[in-house]
Amino acid sequence: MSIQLPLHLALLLVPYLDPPDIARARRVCKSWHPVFSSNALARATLRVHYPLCYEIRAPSRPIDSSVLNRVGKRYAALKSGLPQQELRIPIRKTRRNNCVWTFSENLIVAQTGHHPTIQLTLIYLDASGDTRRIRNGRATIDAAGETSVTVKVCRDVLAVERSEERVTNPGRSNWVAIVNFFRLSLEGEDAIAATHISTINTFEFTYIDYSHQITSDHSGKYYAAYSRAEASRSGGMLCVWDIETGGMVRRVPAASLAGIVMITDVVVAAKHGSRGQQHVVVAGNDKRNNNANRWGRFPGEWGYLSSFKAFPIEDGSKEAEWSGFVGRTKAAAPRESNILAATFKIPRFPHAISPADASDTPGYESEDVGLALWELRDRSGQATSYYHKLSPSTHPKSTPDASLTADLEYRLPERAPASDPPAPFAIKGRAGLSFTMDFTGRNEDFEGTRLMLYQLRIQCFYPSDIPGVMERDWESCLKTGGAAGRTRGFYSANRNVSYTNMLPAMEVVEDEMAIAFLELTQDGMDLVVAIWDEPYGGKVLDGAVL
Amino acid sequence: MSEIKLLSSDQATITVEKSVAERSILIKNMLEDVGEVTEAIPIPNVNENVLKKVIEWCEHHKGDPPAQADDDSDSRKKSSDIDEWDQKFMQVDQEMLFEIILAANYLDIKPLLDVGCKTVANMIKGKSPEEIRKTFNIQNDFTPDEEEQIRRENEWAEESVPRSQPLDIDEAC
Repeated sequence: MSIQLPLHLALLLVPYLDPPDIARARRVCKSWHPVFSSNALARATLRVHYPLCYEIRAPSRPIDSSVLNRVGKRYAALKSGLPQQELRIPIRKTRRNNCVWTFSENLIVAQTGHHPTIQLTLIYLDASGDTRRIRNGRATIDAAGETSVTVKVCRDVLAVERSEERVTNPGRSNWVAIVNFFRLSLEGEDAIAATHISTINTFEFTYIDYSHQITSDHSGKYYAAYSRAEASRSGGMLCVWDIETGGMVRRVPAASLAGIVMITDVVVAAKHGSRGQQHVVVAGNDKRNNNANRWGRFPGEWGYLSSFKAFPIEDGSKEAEWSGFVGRTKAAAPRESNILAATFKIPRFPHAISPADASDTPGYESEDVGLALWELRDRSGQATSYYHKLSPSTHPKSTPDASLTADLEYRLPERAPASDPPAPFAIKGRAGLSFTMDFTGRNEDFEGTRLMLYQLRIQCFYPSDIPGVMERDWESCLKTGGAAGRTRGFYSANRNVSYTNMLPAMEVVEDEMAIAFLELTQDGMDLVVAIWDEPYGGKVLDGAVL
Repeated sequence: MSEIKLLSSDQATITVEKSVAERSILIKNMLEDVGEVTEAIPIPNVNENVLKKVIEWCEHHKGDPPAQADDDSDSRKKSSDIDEWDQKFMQVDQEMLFEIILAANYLDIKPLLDVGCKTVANMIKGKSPEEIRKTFNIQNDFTPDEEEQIRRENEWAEESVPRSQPLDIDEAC
């Protein structure tokens, strides 16, 4: 006689079994199959074993057994280091010796043509319907061989930042920073279209092109930029433009930013408030606080401070500006040079080309801004991350210690395994923080050259017994396919990577769904998108789906 | 030393030391609410055999510190650490084992529930479906087609699944 296992008993077993055990238990017999495939058990399993997966954090549909299968497959892929699918898009360097690309809102934008027009290849991973499919598109800018600097996507707006040289008279030239905006929309079954909205001239520089010194961000409605370099036009100010009209809507004079020593990040976020007010948040590192003046202002043994200020964008807003700082004490972090800071919009889910961020638009969501501090440890190259959600209450005056206490702390094990060679420096992704995945590169000298060979490390975090502390759950490396499953090494896109440079030499965009990075090939360079989640159907024009 | 009586689902009366019975949070709360009781407390979901077994466990563990109240049931737990006495205690037939777990759940005896679940989980953990069938003495009643379909749906749980296609990168450059 086979033993019956009632659902309420099976539910009690969930915390003690791993998800693969549950999947194998489904295959035992006809009476166990419905129990271990039930939606109630799937919900319990996801809550217990994947408490921070997308489907639990931002449920977009009821959780059933198929969701558990999907998440199980994704995490199995991440744990093994073998993506379920891989897209490759050949990409060429611009005259500035860099590759222009982005991967956000599930859209890959890569500059594939430079002359005589700028050509951007768009590849959208459409996960909205029942079947996942790839959509292709193009955007073209008639810029007579001028190079673009960066491309950015937020909601349904693509921003292409460029710089143009304008010779005013012999021996003198000016550089103008220009942004072209495109509205993205889905067309037919397998296309994505980009329609030009507006072009804004932001800053102007004399003689030297300082456009790489501009820090900027946009929402579906506004574009904000700050130039660290002296600019003859709008310089030393934080300026905000309306994307639709191209007109400037807000100017924050330099005096209002005086509390922030070195502005490194600008973020435009839509916050819930009165009528979905939008804010621009600027943040800056402050490594010069070891003087009496600053100690006088912020009593305490501050070792490192990241200050921020938030300004409401719309005119006539009754909402006040707010500011604050987050930091580490000298005792906790003796070497401030070991700290990296990143300010970012906490990503929405699902990643999708979504309509403008006005509060009356369907799909509108409030956005939060996060600030992460990565503290690298000496010698080991291991890092701990302190993650803060910025809000008006993160204020030194109202709550003296609150700004030091991170909302979440990501800890690595005290003792690295013996087989784990120390890394000279670590690459830390910003999105990785909020998604519990964290990709780390290691490098090593490659036969006497300064070309670095990287491995991509994937780390998964799980909430520990201590509230607010995440501990590393498991770690894997991106691997080559096939039976061998060797760790995949790839070379840095640029030569002469400095050993001592703490900033990541490789740009990696990642979350638990997919990861994008550049890979050197024999023919040139490929933009690789490795997909951990369910594969997409369709073709990539001029690219490859593996 | 005060004693109380428990009435099992099959109408058997069992006398037990109050402090032992109070390992059950259900009984403890009931006694706190009612005060002194002379009649037998009905335990309608648990039969005599199971109740005796549960009491045996409670007697052995009566000196243990109380379970932590903030025990989070929504987080994963280790199934490896079961003490020797508990391991022997749980060497019963599977029907009894399941009954003990359900009784521990009903009577709200967290440490016993914990031991029971760990024991069953260890019988499932890391095993193939065939090994689980052997352990629980279960017949495979799937048709070959059904079995193949379910295997494919749950392929991700297998150790070495070739997922990605070989990649055309030159490793030797």
